[in-house]
Amino acid sequence: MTISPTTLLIDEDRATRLNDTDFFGDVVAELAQTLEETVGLSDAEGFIATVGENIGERISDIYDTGHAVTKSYIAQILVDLKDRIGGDFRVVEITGDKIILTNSRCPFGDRVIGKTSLCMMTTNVFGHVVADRNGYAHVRVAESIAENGNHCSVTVTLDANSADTSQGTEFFSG
Amino acid sequence: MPDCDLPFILSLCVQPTVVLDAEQTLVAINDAATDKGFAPGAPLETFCVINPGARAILRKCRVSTNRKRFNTSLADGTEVEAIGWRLGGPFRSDGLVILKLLDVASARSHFIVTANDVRHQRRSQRLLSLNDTLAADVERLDRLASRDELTGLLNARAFREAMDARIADDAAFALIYLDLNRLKLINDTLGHRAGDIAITEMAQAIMDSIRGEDVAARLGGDEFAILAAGPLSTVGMASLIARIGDRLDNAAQNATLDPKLKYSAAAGIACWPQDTALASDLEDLADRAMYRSKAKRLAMVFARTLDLDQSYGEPAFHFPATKARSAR
Repeated sequence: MTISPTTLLIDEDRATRLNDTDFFGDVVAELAQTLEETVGLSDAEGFIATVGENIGERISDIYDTGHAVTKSYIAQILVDLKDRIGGDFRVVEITGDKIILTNSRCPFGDRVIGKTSLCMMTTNVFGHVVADRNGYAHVRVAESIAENGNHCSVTVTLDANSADTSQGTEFFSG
Repeated sequence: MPDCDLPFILSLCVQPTVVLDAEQTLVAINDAATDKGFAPGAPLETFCVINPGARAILRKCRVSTNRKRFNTSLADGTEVEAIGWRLGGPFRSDGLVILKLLDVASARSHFIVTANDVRHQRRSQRLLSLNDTLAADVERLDRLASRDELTGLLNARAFREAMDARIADDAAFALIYLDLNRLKLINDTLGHRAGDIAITEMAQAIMDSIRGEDVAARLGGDEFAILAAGPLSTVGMASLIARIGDRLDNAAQNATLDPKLKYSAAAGIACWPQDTALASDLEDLADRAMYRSKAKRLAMVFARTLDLDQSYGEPAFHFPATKARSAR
């Protein structure tokens, strides 16, 4: 028996989110929330960070490591990878040994709101990509859409001596 | 090695905690780890079973200060959950990894209890949310069941319930029946939309004129009712009817459908318990008074004057002579 989709009763407004991208985004967000509620934010961040590290390794492999490592080139990579996955990061400034980036949209969309553990994805992807080229990275998410902000602000520090390690995460080349 | 003391940092950890160098040799341990049989200077695998998965995660522990978890077991068979991360800050150049070892049985039972709590909490939240939605739906249906859809006034059923409640409370009131004049003519000459406008203007005139403790309803078609609370004087009731008439006049003046259009209504008033103690008789009296008002083109008629064939006051508002219906 063949069931034609047009014979189904469906709420078309809600059905706009029933697609592969939104489905998997929703699953990730639900997993993050369940983790946060079950094991607490700190441990949830740890699990998400582990995932982020693996993803960061894969993404880092996509970009050529033979290119001369300059701050602007590193910044270009970070903006490009975010752009490809639905975030719209841009460089605010490159000063001294810091790259400061901002965005107005998270790749997870609005479903990231309230799930700050998902910020560990950005932290770890950025950290690995930068550390693989620079030897070291310190990443700090100073503001985030997850914390109900209207944008994210991420600072990547390239020199360990000037990193404020009381916050954020350090990364080292593997 | 920086000046700050590794053993001091380790002493702050309650769980067995060890520090490893790049070759995964223990360089420092705390007392709890000593109690579990760990000793510095020996490889970690002397004291723990490190499977390939755990080994891979240990390698990753060197890469960042993020905490990573993996399961392993001690030499004596005790299952433990390990949490490891690279020591950063002043230790970042030393390539050290710190490893905390947790009793997995208590960690798992805590996880299961917490997971059950979370499921229960979410279920409760869903039930509360459903309850709120249901309550809102009940309120909306209740409102729909008791209100006239066009005007928002009470419907006949709800009005009679309000009247019965007043009688049950032994609270005196005046029942005023109002009939919007020439509604059929408005519908026939200007269309049903104009008729609906006339009905809504009538309802608005009533709402603008009654007091907070009064109740108003559209009984159906061109018939309206007011339950005016308290023993009202004749002058008081006449004032109420006059206010409604004034507002109807203003509404007609503002209407653009027909410059000669005027709204008017007939009113019949019966008072409880003065005119009758029975609700059914009260409605009948108000109805008859209203029809007398309509027939004699009077502003209002009191039920108590029906048998006297008398009326009160001069017509406060009127309707012009009707035009012959134009041939189509």
